[in-house]
Amino acid sequence: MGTLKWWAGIALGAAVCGCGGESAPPTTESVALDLLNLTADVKSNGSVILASVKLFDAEYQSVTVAGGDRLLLTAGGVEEEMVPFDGDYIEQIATSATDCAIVLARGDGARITSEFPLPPPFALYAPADPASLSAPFTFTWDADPGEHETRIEVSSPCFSLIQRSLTGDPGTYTIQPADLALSTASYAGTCDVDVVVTRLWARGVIAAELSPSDPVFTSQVRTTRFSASP
Amino acid sequence: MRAFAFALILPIAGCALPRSPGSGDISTLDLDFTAEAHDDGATTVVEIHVDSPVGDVRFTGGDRLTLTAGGSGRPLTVVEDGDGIHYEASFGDADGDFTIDLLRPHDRSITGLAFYMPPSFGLAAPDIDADGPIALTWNAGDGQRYTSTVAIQGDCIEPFARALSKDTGSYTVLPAEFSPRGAGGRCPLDVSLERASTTSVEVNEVLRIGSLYATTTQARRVRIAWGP
Repeated sequence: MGTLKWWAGIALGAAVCGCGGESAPPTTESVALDLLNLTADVKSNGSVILASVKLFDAEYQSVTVAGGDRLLLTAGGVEEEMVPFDGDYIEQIATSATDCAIVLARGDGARITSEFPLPPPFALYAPADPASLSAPFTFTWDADPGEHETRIEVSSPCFSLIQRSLTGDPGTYTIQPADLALSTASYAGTCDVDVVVTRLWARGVIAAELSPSDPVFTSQVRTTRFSASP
Repeated sequence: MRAFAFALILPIAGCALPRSPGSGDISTLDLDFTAEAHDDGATTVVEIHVDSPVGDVRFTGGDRLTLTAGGSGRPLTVVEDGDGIHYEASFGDADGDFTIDLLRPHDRSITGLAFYMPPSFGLAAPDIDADGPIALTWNAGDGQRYTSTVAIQGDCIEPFARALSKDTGSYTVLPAEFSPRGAGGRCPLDVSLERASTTSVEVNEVLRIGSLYATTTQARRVRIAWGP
């Protein structure tokens, strides 16, 4: 009976002092810099840059920014502290600039900077003439000869989603009647058509102090909506 | 030990089941038909396989397999190769319903087993420049019973394919939609349009026994010079 009390005492003590074997979540203070991975989704709509960052360790556990450390988004001469959101860190800056960086500002004043330059900005233009789903309709944007990809997404309640990926950047794309799988149920009257054009490149470079990573994609995203008649 | 000896004797005595049994031993209800037909605009080739629980079927004893396409009877040739036995016909451009009949003097015959070949068409070879769009035109179809796919291949691009939602008789592809292969650049391109259809029916709809599964393609290919 004496032995039983002794073991019960140990178990109770372990539970109270939090010694149950679970390690504390990793933080920017506890993880060595060269084992800290950073992934980022950085995009601009021409007037706002939005960044979402995930930090994780070598075992893919999420890493929390802690102690005196801070995670910062900088763009167009503005710097904002990123805030935790659903396991990520997010922030946005109202700017049309294309220079963008994510900075891990350490408590000791050191700044570990990952550069995420954005592709050239552009404007997207809806079809100039009234669009008809029984004829080709063309939308245009400012072409750029740079080495980036262009992705196009066209959606509407009146037809199935259309996705295209362009190697170059012609600055124009035409949806043809043969592309349209019309939805008869919603094909009465005019249809709203949403076009999303994304210009992206893999020019994001993770800071050398952090765990090595492949180049990261950044993007310029533009959207437009127009009505099309049957 | 006795079972082992029996197994040893069977092949020696030639008692193994034949790979292509004669049709006289097989009920009509046990026959499954598979047909593949391809038309390139000049020649249509049809392959018919007739399968049974004991393997490919060789028609014997007065049983006769016939094919009708484009309103005409098409002679079938028996082909035996490493994969078994099948029946083959080759003739000119044809479309519409192709019909298989199996006439059997000593068992139930099958007549009017139909599968569909999409409409024939002509594909125009476009004149293009190095950076211009590739504009294809062909005879439009109703697209009701078949799918249409544009495919483009060349040494300097990754294979490109696009399923069309409608058969409008025209489609334009931008060079920017190609993914370069190797050093990229420009090269001759093989451009094709394929109309494809599948037919799957039960031979005996009441007993739900026996089947026909057919795939047909009506394809046209043109080569275009794509260069500076």
